[in-house]
Order: sequence, then C-alpha cells, then structure tokens
Amino acid sequence: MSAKEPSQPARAAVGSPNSIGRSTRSGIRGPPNYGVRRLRNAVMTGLAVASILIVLIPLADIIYLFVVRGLEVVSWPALTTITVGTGVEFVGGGISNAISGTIVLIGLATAITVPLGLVGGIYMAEFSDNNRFSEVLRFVADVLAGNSSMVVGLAGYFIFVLYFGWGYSALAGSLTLSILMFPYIFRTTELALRKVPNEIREGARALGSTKSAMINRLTLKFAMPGILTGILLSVSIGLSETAPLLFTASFSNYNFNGAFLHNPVGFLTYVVFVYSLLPSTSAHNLAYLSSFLLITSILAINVVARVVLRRFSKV
Amino acid sequence: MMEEELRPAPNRGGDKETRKGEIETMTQNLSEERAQDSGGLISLAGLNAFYGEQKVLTDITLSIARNKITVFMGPSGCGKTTLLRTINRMNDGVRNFRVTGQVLLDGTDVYSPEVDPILLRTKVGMVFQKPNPFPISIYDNVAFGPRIHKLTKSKSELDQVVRASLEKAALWDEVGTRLSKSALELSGGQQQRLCIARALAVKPEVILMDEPASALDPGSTTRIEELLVELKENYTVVLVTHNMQQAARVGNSVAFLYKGDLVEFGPADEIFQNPKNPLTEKYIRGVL
Amino acid sequence: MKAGNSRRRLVDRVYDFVSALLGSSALLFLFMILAVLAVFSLPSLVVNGLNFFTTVIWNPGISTTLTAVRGFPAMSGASYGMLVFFSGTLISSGLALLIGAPLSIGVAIFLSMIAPKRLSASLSFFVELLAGIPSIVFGFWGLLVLAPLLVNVVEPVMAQYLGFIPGFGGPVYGYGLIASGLVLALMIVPIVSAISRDAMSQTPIELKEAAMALGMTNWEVTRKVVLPYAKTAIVGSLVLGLGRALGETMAVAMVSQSALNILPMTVYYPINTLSAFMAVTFDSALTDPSGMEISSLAELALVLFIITTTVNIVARLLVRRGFISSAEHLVQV
Repeated sequence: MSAKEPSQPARAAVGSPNSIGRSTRSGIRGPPNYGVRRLRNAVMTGLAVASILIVLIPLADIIYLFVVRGLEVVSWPALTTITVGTGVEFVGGGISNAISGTIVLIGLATAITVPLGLVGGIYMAEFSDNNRFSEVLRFVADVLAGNSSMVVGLAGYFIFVLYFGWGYSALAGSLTLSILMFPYIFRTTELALRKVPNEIREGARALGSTKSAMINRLTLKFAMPGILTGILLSVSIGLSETAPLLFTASFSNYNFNGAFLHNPVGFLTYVVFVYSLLPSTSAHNLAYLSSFLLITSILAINVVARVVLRRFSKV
Repeated sequence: MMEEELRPAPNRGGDKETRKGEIETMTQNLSEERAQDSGGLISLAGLNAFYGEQKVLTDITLSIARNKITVFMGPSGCGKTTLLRTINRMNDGVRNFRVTGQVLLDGTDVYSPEVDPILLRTKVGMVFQKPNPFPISIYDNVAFGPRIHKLTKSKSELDQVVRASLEKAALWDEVGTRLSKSALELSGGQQQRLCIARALAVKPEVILMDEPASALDPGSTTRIEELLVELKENYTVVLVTHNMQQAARVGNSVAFLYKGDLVEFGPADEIFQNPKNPLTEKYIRGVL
Repeated sequence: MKAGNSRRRLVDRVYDFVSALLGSSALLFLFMILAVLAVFSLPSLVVNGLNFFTTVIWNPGISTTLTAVRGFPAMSGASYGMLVFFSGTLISSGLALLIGAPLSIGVAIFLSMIAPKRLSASLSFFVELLAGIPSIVFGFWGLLVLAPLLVNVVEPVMAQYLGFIPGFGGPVYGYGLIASGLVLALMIVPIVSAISRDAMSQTPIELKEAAMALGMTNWEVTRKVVLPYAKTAIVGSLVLGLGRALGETMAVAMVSQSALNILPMTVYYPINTLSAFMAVTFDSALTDPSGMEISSLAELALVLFIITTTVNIVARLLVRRGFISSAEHLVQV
C-alpha cells in the first residue's frame, strides 16, 4: 500500500504527535523526543554488549593461554617426575610431587569436610525448624565463606602447624582447606534438602517411618544431585586455594610419602605462584603446566557439577 | 532496535500467490471502506500465528470498527489473547513466535519493516488481565507514559493530563485527593482503572483489553464495563473475554474464536440471538 | 509397641543431636580462628599499639639486638604500620568496584534483557566459569598479559593524555594499582552479575509488559521498571563483590609489585594489600627471632577479618531484604 511512497523514518513530529490519520501512509510517527530515546536505547544496548565482550575476552584469553598453549608443555615425563631444584637455583623436572600432593590434600580435605558439612546441612534443613541456633550457624557459615582464605590460612598455621605441633604437613593443609570448604557443602546440602517437596516427607511420616529413616532413605536421595554439586564445587574451591596452603603444607620437591604429619607436601598452585616469578623457561613451563592442570580440572568439575544437577535432579 | 534483533523475522506475506492477491483485494476494499469513514480502523487479513511449530491462529480475517467495542470471545486456549497481542506486537519478544498475514492499523501493516513497535504501542494502548500498576504513586503511574514520551511541556500540563486521564477512567473522584499515595494501596478494581488511566494518558487511538475484569469482584466488574462503554466515545476498544454475558453487555461486534479459528464474526445481536454457526450456538448455550 | 515408639524417638533425637553437633563445627572453626589470631597478635597489639594503625613504615628491625618492650621481645629499629596495606586494600578494591560495577550491571542487563534465552543461558555459563578460575591463574595471566599491556600501551597513553589530572601523571609501572584493580574487577564480575541478573529476571512480567505496552523502549523498561525492582539485590551483590575483592590474595600479590613503605601517589604506583602482603611476607616473618613480625601479621589478619566480615554482614542484610537469597549464589557461583 505504501509502496508508492518511500517509507520515511520516524522523525520529530509535525503537529500532534499522536495523529494517526492518513499520515500513517509514511509510517507511524513518534513523539517529539523519540529520536533521542531511540539513540539512547541503541547506546545502552551497545554498552551492555560491550560489557559482556569485555568480560568474555579475558576469559577467552585465559583459556587460550593456559589450555591451548598449556597443552604444548604437557608431557609424560613432566607429569610423572618430581621437581628438581628450588626457587633460588635452577628449577626443572616435572611436577608429580605437586600433583600427588594436591590429590592427597584435596582428598583428605574432602573426606574430612563431607561428613561435617553434609550432616550439619541435614540438621539445618530437617531438624532445626529454623530456630535461633540454626540462624547463628547459617550466619557463621556465611562469615566463614565470605572471609579471606588468607586469614584462615594464617590461623591454620597457628593452630595446626604450631600449636598442635604437626609442622608443615598434609593434615595441617587438609584441615585448613576443610575450614574453607565446609561452608559450601554445609549450605548447599541445606538448600538441596529444602528443595525436596514437603509432600514426600509427609508421605513417609504417614507410613509411620521414623524421621531418621525418612531422611536417609528418601529426602537425601532426592537431594543427592544438589548435594553432589555442592561437594564438587567445594572441591574446586579447594583446588583453587594457594595462600592457606603456603602456610600449612609449605612445599616439597618429593612425592607424597604416606606421612600425614611433619612432612611438607607439594601442591599445584604453589608451582604457579613461585615458578611464574622465576626467570628460567623450565620453571615457567612448570607454572604453565600447573595452570593447565588446574584450569582443566576445575572446568571439568564445573561442567560435571552442572550435568549432575540437570540430569539427575528429580525434584 | 533491540526488539527487532530479538524477534524472529516474521515470515510474512502470502506463502501462496493466491493468498497475496486475496489480501490485496481485501485491503483495497478496506481502504475504500475507510474512505467512506464507515469504521474499519483495524483490519486483520489472513492472519496466522505460530509458537514454534504449533499453529495457534488460523487465517483470521476481520475488521475492527472505529469507536466501537469489538469483543474477542471464546473458551480458554482459543487464541483470543494471542490475537489481541498481535495488534500491538506484544509477542515480538516471545521466542519462536511468528506471524503471517496482515494486521492493518488505519491502512498500515503493523508488521511491515517501517513500523516501529514502540511507536505502535503509543497508538495502541493495552490493559492486562491482572491489574499491574507500577509500585510507585498513583500520580506517577499515570504520568509515566507522558513523561517518557515528553507529551507535556510543563508540570501544570502534566497535572491536567493526569487529571483528565483519571477522570476518563472514572477514578478521579476516588483518588483525586491522594495522588501521592502508592498505587498498591488501591483496591483491585481501582488498580485496574488506574491501569486504564495510565494507558489513556499516552493518548492512544485504540485500547486493547485482555480480560480486564476477570480478576475483579462483581461490583468492580460492573464499573469497568460501564467505563468501557463510555470509552468507546473517544477510543476504539478491543476486548478479550471468556465471559459471554460481558460480551453481550458491552460488545458492538463479537468475534467467536475456537481452537485458533475464527468461527463467526458479526454484530453482537446477531451472534447472540441468531448465531449462524452451530459451534457458536453451542458455546452460547454453554454446551461446548 | 510403646517401647518401639520410644526407641524410634530416641533414634531421631540422637540424629538431631549428632547433626547439630557436626553443624556446630562452623562455630568451632570461627572460634578457633578468632582465638588464635587474638592470642598471636597480642604481642603486636601491646608493643605496636596505635602506631600500627597510623604509620606507614613496616620494618622488622635489625636482627642482632633483641630488646624487651612492655614485656615482649622486640628488635631494635622495628616498626610495624599497616597503612600501606590498609590503604592499598581499600583503594584497589574501590577501583575494582568502580570498574566492575558498571561492567557487571551491563552484563546482567545483557543477559536478562537483551540476549535471547538460549544465548543468555550459555553466556551465563561462561561468565560463571570465570568465577571458577583460581585466583592464582588470574594472577599469572595478569603477570603475562595484562601488566605488559598496561605498561607498554595503556598507561603511557593515559599518562600522556590524562597527565594533567592529579594522580594520573608521572612514570608508569604496569604492575601496580591499575593492574590490581582490573584483575579484581574481573574477579568480582561473575558473582555481581549473576545475582543482579537473577534479581532482574525476577521482575514480574506484568510490570515489564505494562511498560512495553505504554511504548517504552527496551532500555526504558530496564531503567524505569527492572532496575528499580532489582535495586536492593544489585547493591547487595556489589557489596558482596567488594567483600571478595577486599580479601583476595594471590592475584593481587602477583600484579601489585608488593609496595613496601610507600603510599601510592599516582594510579600507576605499586601497591600492596593486607592479604597479599601476608602471603609474600610470611616466610621472612618466620625468621624474625623476636616473633614480632608474625604477630603483626596476625594483627593484619584480624584487621582484614573485621573489614570483610563487616562488609559481608552489610551485603547479606541487603540481599536478604532484596529478592533472592545470597547463599544460593554464594554456593553456586
């Protein structure tokens, strides 16, 4: 219909901005400030797009730098031999000491934290009835989670290394990590359990089941994907930590020797922190390799955690 | 425009040559009708709507008269709300929503590329099923549109627009003395009239009403219906309802929709007293 | 029957008690941390007194001569002032917030108001991945990529064209305040944008449609309806992000060039923060025979604890009064 006349862009209106009459043959005309408003909309849209790009570009670069280029330094010997030399001299060899140490530290920390956090979370969701005490616990867990891991690390040094006299050791490192991982497992367990519909609980109670049996056989099962996600994420939190381990596990060039006390253990984040600041290429390569292992394992954990949550969630 | 980027490009225009010719003849007819000033402010021609693969409206063709109340009636899920929302393109942002055919507003296809949905909505106001005032003062709610569109030049002019809109919405007598109170303090019926006032303040030509009284008590419903009848003096009203009595009370023309099809469209008296289609008759007898 | 019932109740009560006990480990952890930090910072509190909070110089002294000050051994010439680290913490976190806030809100607006659902979901995932990257890796990236870029390109240009503004002129270093602020900004974006996005997505569709139907542009709907609705949660998320930046250690330790005894005079200056300083000084502090340096580090830790806890309490009050529970994000981001 308007084919004869070329369509005109909305422009500052002549006459009443709301006239719709015959003039609509050239498109519906806008109110007087419409050009400015449209420009503002375009600019703000542009800024929002720019924001996401500004955030994604470093992410892409980090992944490129440490995953793609990190792959170049991956080799069997580098993964299976121990580090040679210390910070002040030439550093080379591999990082099997850091890998084995990290596995021990994280494994032990998870083994300590899961029972505490999981059962504690069960209390919060199933027993506490949101009483004062549970509010205090929730608050304290939030304070712990929001704190600098540095503070926890120094405290861990004073408690485990000095006061308990364990020296730099796997147990001191793991317990310090536990304090950092605890709030995450504690709170996700509570949240996951709270998402289980109450009908399920009522159904079990109606059948005469004890609360304990109801929790262990029913609600925990329903909440398991959420709980597992929380545990996985807390593992990735533990993997990312550096500072607290510097003070409690120190570092060792030797593979974990089975002793949980009085023997320092290596860990991956130390390699990144210390060797990235050294001048030699061989030291740098170890830092790259550790970054590669950290990023890929943490990304894998994140992906698995999401898959667990989506795939296996029944509620 | 963001809106346009997000919207899947409507696959418009006739998929068949015959359809295209049909539409052209029809729109010509409509133009002639308009030339005679005999109504037909909005014309829907061969309108289809889809959510993804699912077709929710099939080949709707009807004409909405100026300064009349046109009612879209039918059981829930019949597509009447979707039809209403194609007129001001409210479904543009809905994923996988697609329209073919034409919606002509005063001769302009609202889905044609040169039409800006933002501007379209200043001409075609909308009132929703659930009263949805903004959580700000009564005054600010009504002034919301005029302020954004800079429709007024001074505070006193804005005051006038607010007052006039509230008067037209039959709310001024109740809230005139407490304009700075929160809109959320009003009753449901008052909130809905406030939403009508808010729409009127933008000075639209058409007001789309999506079951505006379905969430209200009978007293409030009556007030809204009276208001609708008053509004048609100055506005073209399109009302969606599943309430037959309401359609009969206020409608000038009634379109009965069933499962996405336009079963019957005509003057309200004819539809209710002498329905031509057996489906319509069944619906009116309450046995559908 | 009756016996069975009471045994059942007993099982439940034991479960209740044991689970409460294990949950209480949170209390135990917090108590242990505060107790040891208080005990070990005691010498510093007594010897350094108020000077700790008001002086700039941190100097463990000369290790040959030990004297006693108020009953505690101390080295001659020792001086412990936290101002460099305290101010560095506040300034770098402030800068991070200054850069990170608009960035995060922009991301949240893009994800909740602009991007189509599917794109938004996958982008959200990538942004959240950013939260999973260890801070040490951020630091390494800052060391390898960001700081060289700053010293070679960005900062010289800034110094040349913005040099007339006080604090923006002078020599550039690359490693310092700007690098720390930028890395921290990047690190707080995921949590701030995730909470803000969720709060914005919870704006009732009725309100958004009401604004759209009045002829609002997408930005106007965002500005007039969505942002006011999500305001409290957004502010809360920003404070939560600030709390994170304040306590962040490793990334800053690697790009700040660990300033000592000097306050930043321009935006290019090396800086130091409470936590980063603790990380890099710990080893040498252990060699102090008087034990005063490690005690002073404990006092730094107490100060940091008080700051971050205060900020976190404020954030939690805001977010809880807002529209979502922060905890959900704390655990998921």
